[in-house]
Amino acid sequence: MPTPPPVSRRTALGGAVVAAGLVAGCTAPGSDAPPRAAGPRREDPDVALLSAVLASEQRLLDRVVATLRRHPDLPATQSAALAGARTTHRAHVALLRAGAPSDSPSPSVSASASSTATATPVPGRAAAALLALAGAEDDQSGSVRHAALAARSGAFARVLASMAAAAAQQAVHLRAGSKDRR
Amino acid sequence: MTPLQALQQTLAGEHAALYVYGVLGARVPASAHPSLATRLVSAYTTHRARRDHLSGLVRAAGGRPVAAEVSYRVPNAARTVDELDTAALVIERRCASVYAAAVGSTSGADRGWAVDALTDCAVRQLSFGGSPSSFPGAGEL
Repeated sequence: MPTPPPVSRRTALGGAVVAAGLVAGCTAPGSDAPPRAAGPRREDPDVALLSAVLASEQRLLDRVVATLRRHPDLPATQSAALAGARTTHRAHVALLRAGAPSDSPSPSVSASASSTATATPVPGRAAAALLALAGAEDDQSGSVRHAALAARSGAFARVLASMAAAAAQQAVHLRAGSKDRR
Repeated sequence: MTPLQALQQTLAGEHAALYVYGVLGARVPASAHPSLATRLVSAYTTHRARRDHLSGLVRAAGGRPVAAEVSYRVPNAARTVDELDTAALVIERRCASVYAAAVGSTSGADRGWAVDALTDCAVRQLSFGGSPSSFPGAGEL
């Protein structure tokens, strides 16, 4: 079976990172050209997509963390499932943040600040809490899939598709965990 | 990579997956391990449908579908139940990578179909003993 050539993180997010650089009005080192006007580039659709997905990943991460706080004494398999979801969405947030325009507001701050006011309540029963998160993972998978279809850059679409698949895995894993009574 | 090349590469990947699932399905002791047998049959059926769909996409794009090889290397000895599970997991991981690449090289409905196939491969990995990963099909991230 042919294996696709390995792509570095920089290359994979290349389209989005380049877009971000253009948004910031960057020019190549040594270029004599004046800095590019930021205005039109600010509307690069991939940059807007990236910001939207970053915000939703951060919201979901906040929700996973809130669930872990609300249920600190879960059986090992359930707490491992939650910790796995936290690891995955942290990785997504970190990767997207690395590709976000440097002049955009930090979604980490804005999402965390707003989450205290608008956070979805965590169910008091552990099984219900895990099921609620599984539903949120399904929603996230669907919305990131939608973003992958809208992405202009193929490399960025590939990253988004992988994130959608990761959220689908988390949904299945959390749902299985919710049935674990040990 | 052109969209046609991406479709051909994905089709080649499905030829290999189907071959290996054929071997695995023939080796599973179905009466003793009905659950594994069912999962292998489900995977085979899904991959066969994708192979057929990809052949159609290649033709629609003006290409001649790449043919299957005579045989492929099975990922392990595939003698024990654990080995059968692991071999299936390896196949699903490879397919996830191939579909992730296809997502990057296609657009529109073909891309949407590739995203769904990638997601199915990722979820199917869990049924063969795999753990969730942060970037299915894009392990270098």
